[in-house]
Amino acid sequence: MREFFNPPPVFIEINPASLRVLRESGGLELPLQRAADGKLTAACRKELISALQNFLGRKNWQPRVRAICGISAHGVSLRTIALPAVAGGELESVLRLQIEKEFPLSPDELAWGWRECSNDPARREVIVAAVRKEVIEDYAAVLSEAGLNLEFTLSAFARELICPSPNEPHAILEMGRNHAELVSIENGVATSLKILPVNENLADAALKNSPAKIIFVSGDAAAQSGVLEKLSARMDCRRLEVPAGDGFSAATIGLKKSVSENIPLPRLQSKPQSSKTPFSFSWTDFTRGENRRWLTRAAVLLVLLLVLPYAEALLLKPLLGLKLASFKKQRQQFASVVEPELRFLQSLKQTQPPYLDVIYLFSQSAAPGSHLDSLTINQHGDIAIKAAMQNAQQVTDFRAKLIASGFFANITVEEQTPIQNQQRVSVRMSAQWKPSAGRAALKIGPSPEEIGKANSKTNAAAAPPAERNTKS
Amino acid sequence: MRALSPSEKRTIRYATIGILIYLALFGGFKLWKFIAHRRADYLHMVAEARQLKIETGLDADKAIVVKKMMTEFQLDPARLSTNSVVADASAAIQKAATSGGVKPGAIRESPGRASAKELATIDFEGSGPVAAVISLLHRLPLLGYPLVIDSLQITADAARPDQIKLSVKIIVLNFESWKTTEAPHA
Repeated sequence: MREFFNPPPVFIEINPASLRVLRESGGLELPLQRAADGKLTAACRKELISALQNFLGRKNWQPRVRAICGISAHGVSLRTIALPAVAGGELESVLRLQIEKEFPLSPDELAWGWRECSNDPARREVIVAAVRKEVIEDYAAVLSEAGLNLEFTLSAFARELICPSPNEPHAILEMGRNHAELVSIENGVATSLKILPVNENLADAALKNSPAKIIFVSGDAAAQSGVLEKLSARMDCRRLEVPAGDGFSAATIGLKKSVSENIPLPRLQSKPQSSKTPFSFSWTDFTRGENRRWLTRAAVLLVLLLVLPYAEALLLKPLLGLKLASFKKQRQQFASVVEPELRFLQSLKQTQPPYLDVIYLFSQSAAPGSHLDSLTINQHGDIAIKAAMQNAQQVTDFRAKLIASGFFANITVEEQTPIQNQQRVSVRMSAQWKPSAGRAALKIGPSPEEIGKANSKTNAAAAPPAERNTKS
Repeated sequence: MRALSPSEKRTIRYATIGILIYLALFGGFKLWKFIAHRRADYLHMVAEARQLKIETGLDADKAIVVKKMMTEFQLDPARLSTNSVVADASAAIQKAATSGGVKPGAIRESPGRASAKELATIDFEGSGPVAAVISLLHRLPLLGYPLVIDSLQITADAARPDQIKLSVKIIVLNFESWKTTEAPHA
């Protein structure tokens, strides 16, 4: 099922004349036809796409198959570049500047990759492999259409992986029908790359171009031309053993090893890596260690997301229960003290009758010369007043003012009797104040000016007579 | 015991697997039910805690109101004693009257109506200048005791025209009654 969604990668070696494809289930070898400019012909492209699609057997809805492609050394330049000590994030930009300086083309016109070849932190040295961008793009266009997700590297780098690693410097000679690739390796890093014509002088040319004393020979043509014997006579020459069959070559086996053993190879890229990487189906290849780690992290997070709410309930419920119980108890204690006090004080406030307001209103409404005989008020608002006024008009005015105050619900003059030969009027009245809701909006009581006036009068009255005289 | 045939072995194997699956499902369902029940309880408790938090905010408001009213009436109900409040209140009334210029007259104390949450009733008579009488009326509720003036009568003093007579009936409230009373419904 995993292979159904994550098909195993394929390993491709692209030579000038042929293309080898190796997969777990088998291999394929296809001839290449090139135009005068070195690009693949249209017919060749068509055939390639069709053959690869048949070979891969991929359905349209399936993810693209990861393909690691090794290209031949034709057109590839290899340079050793010394770099100043820089931070990791700046290395790429410094490298681009150095490539600009060392190569005839700008980094934007090249597909390039690099690999560090010195471990000295003070002086960093990297090997940069670069090829014209069009070369890679030509291959990429065809292979992408066949449903592949591509990564490019040099076949020469891949071949190095299947060499029995001698500590001494060595060289690898890959022999094709017309050309041979000679790569020199020092400390496990390719330091030079040559394309040599296959002829009777090949052995001499190989010895001349490589200082190594050990040479590994690979390729189909190695046994035919007698180069192996010639080289064996003059140096330590060994054959790189490759299983027979379509798709098998030193390069494809090396590429396979790089994936299975997770050995990174310099990738030839035509664009600098963007910070916004588009989605790639290679991410779903869970045979890759890194992807597996991310998958594990995602799975752990998902499990935590599902489990934590329940774990929270199981773990925190007893604690929360205790806290709630303690809090409820405290609240009950608090309520048992505050609630009765609040109710009591509110009741006390509501039951305070407005006696002073009544007295104030009477004093404000009574005309000068009026004489109060008695005033009776109770908590229910029943008021009885007995007074003597100068005439009936004053009684009327007094009553009118009390009504105008809005404080009283009804005011009744129970009895009004002239006394002392019609000089005065004795009056007996009763009243009822409005309920508290009806009185709430009224503003009753002395104004600040009246209070100030009353205070000054009180002070003057309280002062000693001598002082009062002085003031007057 | 005879050896089992491959067919019998297969049947036993399938039966074992079936029973194990059943037990796993049954146990899993039980476990799930238990955990889901615990979680529902927990969520209920969380909701309860949130509600309590809101109610605590209201309690804080109530405490502020109580403090404000205690300052307004100069009264702390927690410090009042049922046994001595009537005596203390009577003494405070007389002291306030004397210090304010009102000459105390007859004072009568009688037990209050329990149904009306009254502790006692004090009938106080006195005479003095108008300002002193009014001042006493103003100060009575602020003496630090739960006093409510039930009724009052002011009459002119025929012998001394500059003075008036005051007769008040003061109720001393029984604050303990509020501790046992349920909160009134809104």
